[in-house]
Amino acid sequence: MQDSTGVAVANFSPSLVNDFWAWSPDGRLFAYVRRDYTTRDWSIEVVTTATYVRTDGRTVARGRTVHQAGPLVSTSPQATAGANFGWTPASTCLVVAHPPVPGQSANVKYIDLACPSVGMSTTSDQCRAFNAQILTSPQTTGVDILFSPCGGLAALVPTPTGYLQLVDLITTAADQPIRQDNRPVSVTVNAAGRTIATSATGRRGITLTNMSYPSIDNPECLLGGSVTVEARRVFASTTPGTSPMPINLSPGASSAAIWNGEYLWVELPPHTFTRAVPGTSPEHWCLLARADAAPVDAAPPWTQFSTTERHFAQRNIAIT
Amino acid sequence: MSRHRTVDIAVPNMTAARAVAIVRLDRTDPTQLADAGLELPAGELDVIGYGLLLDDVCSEPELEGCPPELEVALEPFETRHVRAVIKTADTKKAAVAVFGVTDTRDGNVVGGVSIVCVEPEYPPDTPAAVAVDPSPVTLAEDLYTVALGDDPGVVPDVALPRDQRLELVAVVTNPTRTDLNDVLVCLEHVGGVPFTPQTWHVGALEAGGSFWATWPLEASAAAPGRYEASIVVRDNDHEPTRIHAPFRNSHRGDDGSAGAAFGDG
Repeated sequence: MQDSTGVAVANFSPSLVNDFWAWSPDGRLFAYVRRDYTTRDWSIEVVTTATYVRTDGRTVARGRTVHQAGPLVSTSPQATAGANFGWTPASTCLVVAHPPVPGQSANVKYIDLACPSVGMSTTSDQCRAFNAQILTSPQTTGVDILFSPCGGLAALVPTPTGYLQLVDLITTAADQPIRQDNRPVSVTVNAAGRTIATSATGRRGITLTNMSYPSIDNPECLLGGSVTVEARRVFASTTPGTSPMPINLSPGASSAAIWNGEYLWVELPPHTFTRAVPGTSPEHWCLLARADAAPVDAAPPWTQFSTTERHFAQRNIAIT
Repeated sequence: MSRHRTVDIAVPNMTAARAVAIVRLDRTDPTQLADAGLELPAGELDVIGYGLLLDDVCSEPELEGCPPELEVALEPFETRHVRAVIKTADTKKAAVAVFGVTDTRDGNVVGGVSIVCVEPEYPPDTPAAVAVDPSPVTLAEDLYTVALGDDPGVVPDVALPRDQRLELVAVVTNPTRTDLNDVLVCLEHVGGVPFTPQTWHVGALEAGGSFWATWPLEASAAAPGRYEASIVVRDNDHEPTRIHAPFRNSHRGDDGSAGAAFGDG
């Protein structure tokens, strides 16, 4: 099978197999399940159908396998299809409920949350998957897996009671600590009819009912990057670009949150601006500043300093 | 009464050939600095005189005999220093005078320096500290540190070991009787102690509500002692506001004892 650009995305075999597949809603990923009735095993593969940029910045070319599982033997008639197989609406996670393998307890279910944006390492195309082991018992009939509107979180909500669990699907594919006001809390579901809903970003942005806390922090977008402003000192002369002194005298760096199109004064750490050689060296210096918001808006290196480049600025000072 | 203002300026020759620089000091229009981002007063400073000295020859510079223009002969790779001296009348009014030093070689202006004389002394205060409508978000208690990943709401009883990875904790609160929206907390610096820059998009902070903002800190990379951190807070209805807070960087054994709790001053 090929995508619209001719890239092979999956190979089908005409033997005794069942094939199931699912495109991610954004069309950039294709998941394929193959169940072989001869060998009684099943396997799954996720491939990119377009260039894919992960959270860690790695670009995965189209046609690359990012997730693979199996072959696993299963005699179960349960198919990895339908409700057991699908993408989150935001395309951040593939949900796969395993058919039981021989010897598996009837009280255990395994569900994989494969997260294409979370790499195994920065040198591998393979992504991480969160493996949920769901225990059922007379007291616990199971777990509902719900997804946040932005697709960055999965909530494992026990039924009817038990501990609430959050999973980060964007950066770690791992447990996301549950916090309220940024303090860790343990949330228990204590009654049937519980609900969980995203009401806002940030602090207490997830609203809960019939649980031990009425609200918890919404970790999506709670913590963001900063603009970094770095200033250096350079001996000033009348001829720009011919400073006889090195420019790596660094008064310091500061971080700030500056909105697009806005400006903000930033304060640098205290620094004593002394004359390099008291009594003999010049009093007149320049402060060179560089600001960026890497990796989205990274500044050129200091070696490419230019007052016409928007990431740089220069102001002069006299030290007496 | 008058005041002498002096600025030393290097005049380098970065070539292997001899050069002659014509260095000239002229008073210029302050509006030329309109794009420089300086908040200068509108008043005009009374300038009594100005001139240039070569190689810092006068320890008590007088303006008599100091010309506004000098011819500076430079050997290959030689740097000489020109001192610009500007004499202004004392005043209590906010005023400014702007001068330009130009460096002309072979008929071409190859560089220069702007000199801004300001009364009162510039800047009178850290400009960023002045918010007309400051955010009321404030710190509920002193800054302290916890082990990385620990509950930021529990202050350690004893100082942590030097090799312990730490998080700086700032408990921000809304002391008003009205809710604040889109609250943001940013750690600007910790007085030179390295930290991981990140911004907390706290969101809504109801009246009396608090949030334990944290930042990973490389405390062991800085000398023990007292530092002052700068935290910037803002919300949807107020200007960004800077909060200065002391921070004591100490570890178990720094003073030969078992150590004291963080955040004690």
